[in-house]
Formats: sequence, structure tokens, C-alpha cells
Amino acid sequence: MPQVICRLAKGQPVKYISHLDWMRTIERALRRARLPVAYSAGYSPHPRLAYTPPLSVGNTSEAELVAVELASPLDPDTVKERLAAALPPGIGVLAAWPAPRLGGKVTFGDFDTAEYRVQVRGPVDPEALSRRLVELMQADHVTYRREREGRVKEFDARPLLVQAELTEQAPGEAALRLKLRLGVPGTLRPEEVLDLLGLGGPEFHSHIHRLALYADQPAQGRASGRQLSRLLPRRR
Amino acid sequence: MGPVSMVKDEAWDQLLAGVTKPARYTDAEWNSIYRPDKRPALRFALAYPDVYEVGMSHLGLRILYHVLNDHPDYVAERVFLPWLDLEQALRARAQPLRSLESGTPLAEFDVVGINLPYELTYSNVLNLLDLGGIPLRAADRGEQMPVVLAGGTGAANPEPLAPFVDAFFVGEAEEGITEVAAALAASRGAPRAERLAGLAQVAGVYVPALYREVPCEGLVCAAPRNGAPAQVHRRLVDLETAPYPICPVVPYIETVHDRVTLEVMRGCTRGCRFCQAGMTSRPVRERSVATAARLSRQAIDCTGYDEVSLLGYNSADYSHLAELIDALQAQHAGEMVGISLPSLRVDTFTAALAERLQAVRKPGLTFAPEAGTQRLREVINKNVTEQDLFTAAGAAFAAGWFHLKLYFMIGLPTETEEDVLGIVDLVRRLEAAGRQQLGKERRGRLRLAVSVNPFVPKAHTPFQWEGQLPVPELERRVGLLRRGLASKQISLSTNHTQASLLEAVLARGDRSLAPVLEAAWRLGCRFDAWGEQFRPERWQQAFAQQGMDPQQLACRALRVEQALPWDHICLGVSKEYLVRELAAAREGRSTPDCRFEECALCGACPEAGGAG
Repeated sequence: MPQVICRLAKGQPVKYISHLDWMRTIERALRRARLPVAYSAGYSPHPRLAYTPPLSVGNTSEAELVAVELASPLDPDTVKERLAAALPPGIGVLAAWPAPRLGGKVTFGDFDTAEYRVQVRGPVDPEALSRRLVELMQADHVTYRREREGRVKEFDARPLLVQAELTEQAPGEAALRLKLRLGVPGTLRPEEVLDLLGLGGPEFHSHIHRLALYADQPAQGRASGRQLSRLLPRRR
Repeated sequence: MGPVSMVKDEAWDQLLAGVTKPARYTDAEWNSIYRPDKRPALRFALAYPDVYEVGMSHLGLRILYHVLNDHPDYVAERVFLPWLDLEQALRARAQPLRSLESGTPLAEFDVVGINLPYELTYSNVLNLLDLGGIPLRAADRGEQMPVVLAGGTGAANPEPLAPFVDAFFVGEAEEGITEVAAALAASRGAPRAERLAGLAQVAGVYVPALYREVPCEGLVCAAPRNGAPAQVHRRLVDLETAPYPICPVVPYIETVHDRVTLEVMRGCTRGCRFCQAGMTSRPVRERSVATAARLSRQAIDCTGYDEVSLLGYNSADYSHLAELIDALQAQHAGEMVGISLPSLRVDTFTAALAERLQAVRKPGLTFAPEAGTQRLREVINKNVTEQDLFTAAGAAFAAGWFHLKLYFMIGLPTETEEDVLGIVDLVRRLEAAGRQQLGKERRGRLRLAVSVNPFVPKAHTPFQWEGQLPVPELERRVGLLRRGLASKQISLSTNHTQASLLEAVLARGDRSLAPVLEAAWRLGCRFDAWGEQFRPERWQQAFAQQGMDPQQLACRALRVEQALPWDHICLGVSKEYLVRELAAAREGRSTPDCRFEECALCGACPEAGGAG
């Protein structure tokens, strides 16, 4: 059945909702929009939707994709319009387009890289920050200790850090552009890069915004990067 | 749209970034009402003494939110208690508790209406006032302070909270709340004492300051001063025409009841002798199928939920249940909207109902036999038989259910060890019957979730005169169940017995408990209903400071002749009826449901000459 891909924005008012909350919110909005969403069969039918990898709680985004399988065809502009009217403040529909036929269902699992814009306020020392950034990018290995639910995991963050550049800086403030791996190759969170740069303490206030997703390293058996790029809307 | 100003406020944002579940505090949900352009005559804070996801599941709060906001003269905003981490952060920064919608500090509202869902939230009620910058005691509140109203289940016996509350609303508030609002709007500017005295003229309003304490037989009762009504009668509404929130706020985070809650009936006349809700909400009132179906249609369209829960004390008692389910399924056909029923009486669950319910998805099934032997079920007037349970469970298994939830109570009046072991026996035989019926292929999937709560004597029930069992004996009986029900296919959950003891003390408490509550709150008691947060040793200390023994208060039997601290609150049923029911219980006699057999003259029906 036909799929329509919607690119959604997650704004300030909803930045603290989790990925599960996000999925529930989209499902309810689709229902309010009375769109003919296709459902799975079985004891507990659920709408056939696919989402891009989870965004950290607290981040905003303009690159949240959802693939909506429809039980009957409907043009993407109508989907966009009706869904937008049924979404709460803080969630917008930036674009909608028909999913390409890739010989299977679109699942977004092949995205392996995300790009973020990070703004930090606090006691930023511009010179020290530039130096640390260069060191980080030149290092062969960067050990990061991740603590989650009481368990500590140490891993090499360097291969997951694709790009990090300082786009703006002034005393007390800095803006960065980060490109980080996620999903199959392993996930490095933008907050963790801030830790590595010494910008992670409670004295700093950061705003992290996801700009885009990419499929840089398509593995064998998965869709190729060229195919996946067709999941994204054409640049205007 | 919610308090974007607050989200944009960097300090607030940073505060939230460091707490658990920050989405509890951000509002901006679908259907939340924030209208800064409205110039109301009165601003209400509707406060719930627990966290967001618990409070947002409360239907009463949702109803009042819409009743007030739909009125041209009033505004209502929601306030929930912050979790411990945010409380600490707020106190450290000397920041007051604020409303969700506009971020207004609690003390700046005209009225703070607090819902009292059950006794174990009372320490939270004090915490809520204190975090809001409102003096705890009504007597200490200045002219500029909001009027603190309280209502809900806790108003059945308001006395333990009486010194902290300016006025209680007794009964169903859909209609009365606007009368309260009108009285307060009209008296704006008048001295506080005068305003409260005026408020007491509104039917259903109890103003504790107008009643003095009268000691009687070791209890503290309340006697009216000049001009105050001798008895405050509860309010009732006509459910068919009562306002219903068709566009309730749709939370982002998962709440306890995350679905359309369609109240199809209110009240219950089954007459279980321990049940306060059943005794105090009579008579039974129902919504018509047409109205219920229309409300369901509107609520699904307005919320996007995929489940409708038919709410009632026993929704299978709803006269037109099959017709309603058919109507709902017809109108929601193709939308994948499931229908669920909360706890059901086993004598009302049939194969046909099982078949109807599972059309979209299988809801959870909960049965409440309450006691393990027929003798004890007669004593408590839970007029169901073992055969009813096996028939209902058999119908469920046949229709493809594997999981059943079962509710029981322990420590009921006259309960013996035989009755406790009767629960074990009953559940074990149900397990065996289920395994046999499901057969070799599927019997491994059978799960029985058994929930056991200690009996708590509640005001305005026939068992209000009975004592609770001492905690060590309750523990021993829980132990019998734990040993008897050890099985991979049975899970047993029990309430903290010390928490049940506290509940019993407060449920039958008088004004002398107010200093205990205050002391416990000062010792750090919070979220007593949240198992892991309950601190029995602090409560013990608070009782000891006041020279009181909670065990003695919970376990004492009261004499039917003596005056009770809640005698001035009338919830419909007459004391004579409660006395008759207690006598019947002691003789092991059941009383039939007046909907199907003769009237038991409980006094709740105004048309039958009752107090109403």
C-alpha cells in the first residue's frame, strides 16, 4: 500500500517529550486528521508507521521523518495539510512526499549519520574551545564513559564523530555544527560531544537542534546511499 | 497554547533539564486551554495532590476544568505536585509552585480547588499549599490569599483536613462549582470571614471555621455555630444532562488512564458493605445509549485516542451495555477504536459480552470476588458466587483471554484463617480450571494477577464502626497468601500494611489529626501512596509527638450509638440504614440490589423521601 513520508519539526514546547511520547502524539494526530492509515492485523492492531531514530529528550529538530502507510491513496499535500491542522503547538509538518519504491517498506533504519546545530551559553573560553576541538578531531582514539541507568560503558567515540566545527564564538557563547553517527555503526549523542569539549557541566546551557539525517555508509544487503537519499525531499 | 514564556525562560528551562520526566511540567498539550485575552471575574487553580500523570487521569478534574473554562466569567488552570527533585530545586531557588497554563504562582489565584482522591494524599495537600506560598492553616490566611476549596472522595470525612481548608464541597460539583464561583465573585473585596460565611449558604458547601470542636467519647465532633447548617447535604447531578469534557487535554506523557473515559453510569446499589463509593453515590444514574454514543464520537474526534473505557462502579451493570457496545462498534468501525470496561462483577460477565469486547483489541479483564468464601461474601454483601467466577473466567478463556486480574480484601470483619485460605483455594482451583480449559498448547500462557488490599473502615459505610486488624495479624495473613499462591502463573501484589493503617486512621479521623498531619509533613512525609516513598517511621514519630497511637485509632471498634466526627456531612444514605446493614452483616445476611429487588430504604433517593 502507498506510503507518504512526512518531515516534521519538533519545537521548543515539546522538546522534553520522549520518543515513545512522540510516536503516541503522531498516532493520535493522524487519527484526529482522519487520514486513512493502514493498520497491522492481529490481536492488537497498530498503525503502520515508521520513524527515524530517536532524538534525545531536550533536543529540537527539523529532521524527524515518519513514513505513513495509507489504506487508500491520498496525495501528499492533503496529508501534509490535514496532519498539520491536527498537530499540537510545537510540532510542524515541513514537507510530505510519496515514498520511493525500494522493493520493500521504508523503515529509515539505514540512516547512520545525523547533523546537529548546537548553541552553548555559559563560561565559554573561545581559545581553549578551538584548541580542544582541533585535538579531538586529530586524535585517533577518544574514550568516552557513558553512564546509563547505573551501568557504565566505555567506548571509542572518535569513529562516531564525523565532523565538528565551530561556527560562531564570542565570550560566553559558542555555536557548533556536528555530524555524528547513529544507529547501526553506534550512536554518539551531541551532549556527549559537549562533554568531550568541556561544555557539559551544569554551568552551561545548551540548545541542540537536529538538522538532517544521512546514509553515508550503506552496508551490504541494505539499501544503497543513493536509494536512501531519495527518502529525503529535494533541496529547493 | 501553553506557557511558551516559561519554556523560553532560560532559568526555568535549565531547571527542567535536570529533573526526571520534565514533560510533566511543560503543558502545551492538545486541547489545553490558555486564553490570556480572557478577563475573568475569578481565576481558579485546579490542583491535584499528586504528579501530573496521576492527576491527569482523574475524570473529575477534567470535568471541572471544562465547566469553568467554558463559562464566560471564569478561568481554570491546572496545578500538579512536582516530583521530589523539582520540589527541591524550587525550594532551593525560593520559587513558588505555578500553574501549567500561564505559569501563575498558586497564591495569585482567587480560588485554589484541591481534589482529594484518597487519604494517603493528605501530606501532599499540605505540601501543595506550602509550595504555593499559601499559609497551611485557614486561620492564618490573609485577605489577599486565595480561598482554598477541597472536594472529591476525601470530603466524605473532611475533619482531618478541616483546619487547612477554607471550604469543602460535598458531593458532585458539576453544577455547584459555578454557584461557588458566583458567590465568591460577588463577594470580592468583602472581608474573608464574611465571604466564607456567605459561601456556606451554597448547598453542598461545608465551611469548617463555622463549626466548633466538641469532644465526645474520645472523638472530636463538629457542632455548628450560629447560622451554619446542622448538616451539609451532598450535591447530585443528572448524569444524562451533566457536562462532559468531549475535548479533554491529551497528555504527551503516558498517564495512568490514557484513553477516553466515558462515564456511562454513576452510583451503585449493589451494597457492598465496605464500599464508600457505592454507599455515597446513590442512586444509580445512567447516560442514555444515544448520549453516550454521541459523547464517544465527539471525544474520539477531538482527542485521537484509540480506546474508550466505559466508566461506572460496575459498568456491566449499565442497563443497555450490549446495545451501547454495538452502537460504539458500529460508529467507530474501521477506526480501530477498542472498548474496555474497568473492574467487572463476575455475575455480569458473559460469553456474549466477551465476544463483543474483543472486536478490535482485547482489553484487560479484572474481576473482584473480594473474599475467598461464600460466608464472607455474604457478610460483606458481595453477592456473587464461586460459580459466577468460574463461569465468567471460563467465558474469558474460551474467548481467548489468558490474563485475568483478581481483587481481594483481607482483614474484613469476621474474617477467619479459613476465609484467607479460601482465597488461596479459590485462586488455585481457578488456575487449575484455566489450565485444563486452555489445553496443552496454551495453558502455559495463563496468568492470574491477584491484588490483595487490607480492609480499611471508611466513613458513611456499614463497616465504619468496625476496627481494622492489627498490622502484625494483617502481615501474617498476607504471608498465608504468599505461601499459598506461589506459582509461576500467579502474581500476588499487596498494599503496604502500614499505609493501610494510616489510611484507616485518616478515613475515620477527626480534627485532632490535623497536628499529626502537619508534623508528618514537616518530618518530610510526601507521596505516601507511592510505596517506595512511604515512611512509616516518620508517621510513627508524628503520632508520638501528639501523644497518639495510630494502631489504637485504626483498630478500635466504634459504638453505633455514639456521635461520629462526620455526622454533620450527609451523603444520602441514612445512619439507620447503615446500622441495619451492619446488623445484617453480623448475622451473615445479604441485602439485594434495589435495582432488581425491593427498596432497602437507604434514604438516598429524594423521591423516596430520603435526604437526597
